Amino acid sequence: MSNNKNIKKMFQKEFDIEIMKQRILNKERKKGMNFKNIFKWSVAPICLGAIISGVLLFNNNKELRSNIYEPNIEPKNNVSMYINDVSKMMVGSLKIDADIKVVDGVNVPYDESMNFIEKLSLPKDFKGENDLKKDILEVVYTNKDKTDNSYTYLNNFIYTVYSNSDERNIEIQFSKENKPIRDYLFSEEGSKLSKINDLELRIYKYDKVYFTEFNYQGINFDIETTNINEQELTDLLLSIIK
Amino acid sequence: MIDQETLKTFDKLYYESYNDVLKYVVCNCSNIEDTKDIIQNVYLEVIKKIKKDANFEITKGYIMGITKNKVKDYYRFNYKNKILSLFSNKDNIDLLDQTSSDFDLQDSFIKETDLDIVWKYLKEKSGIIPKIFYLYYYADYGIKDIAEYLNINESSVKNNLYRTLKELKTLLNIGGDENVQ
Repeated sequence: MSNNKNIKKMFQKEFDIEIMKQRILNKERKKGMNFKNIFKWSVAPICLGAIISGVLLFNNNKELRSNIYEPNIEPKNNVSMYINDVSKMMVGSLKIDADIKVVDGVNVPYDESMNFIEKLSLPKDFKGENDLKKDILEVVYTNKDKTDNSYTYLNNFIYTVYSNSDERNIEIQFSKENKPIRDYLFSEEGSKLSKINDLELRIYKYDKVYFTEFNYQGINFDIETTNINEQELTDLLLSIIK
Repeated sequence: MIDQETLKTFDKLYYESYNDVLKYVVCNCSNIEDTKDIIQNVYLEVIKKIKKDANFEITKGYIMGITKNKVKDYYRFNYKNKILSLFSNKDNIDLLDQTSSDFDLQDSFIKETDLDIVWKYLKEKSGIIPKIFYLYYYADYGIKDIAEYLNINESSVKNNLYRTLKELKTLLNIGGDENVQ
């Protein structure tokens, strides 16, 4: 292939129209959630107690409330999953104020915390010919303090992989030293823990998005998936938490 | 969240305008690494407008207006490094004119496996070089059109292309002028 075709291919890859679109829509989705969360917290405190109590687990007959459920997945002895569905509740969420800069991780030297990437269990439509994936590695930098504008402190990495159709994706933030930065959180109060290979974690669901965060083998993980089903989520988590 | 109606409108505008927005941002940003951030900001603004006023007709011209503003806005914040143009004074242009122009632009030495190295190299060059490469190799502009679009002279375009390709050849250990720095 000539220089022309190869260099053109390089630019096409760097500025892929579909990957860029997914990035934009992901950002918009997160923005939209922040707005709703802030609005909810502006409700008078007297209502807050009533809303939070709606997330409580059981009624007298020990049935799960409709907003916390066991997913329909292949049963395994080492997996006990509960999905905390916050789609209709939209409560218990906190906003973190952080200044960050995200850059492509092309020039970042390999770190042992990245070892899990090659072993990830991904849905079939996330791999193209020759097992090639549509994926991006990014680096999140923060300021050391409010007076510093240099954004030189490496906080965490973000690994994102897309399905061939770009309609589904998995985003994994990870770091050995720091907690990955999230621009919204869900309160643990009233939510139910899952357990995978003896590791306890909480899994939340908002519409078609699943979130979870945990520490495994000294690495802090923060995972967000879009449009993947519960079995695929389970398989993904099992490929990380062994 | 983004509803289906908004997404449908966004999709149409996005695919119609993306190449023009990309070209403008690449050619007007200080550092090609900033391109994705700026493009993201442009289209987030477009989505905001779609949601705010469903009756407002968003044209490509309107989107290009947003793009120009977003490029300006982006460099108001100090954390971005400003890359000085290599052509900030005439002496630099004269030096480049001494570069041999017998280098063959059609010479094929860059392989697919070299592309990460090439991209890293281009990102680190001064502001004008990635723009020239983008317009020449991706947008299929001729030398004259590149000169016109970037408002520089044709010899500057040629010399930057020749010089950078020679440097890449050295970098990729294929040979070339060892005196090129």
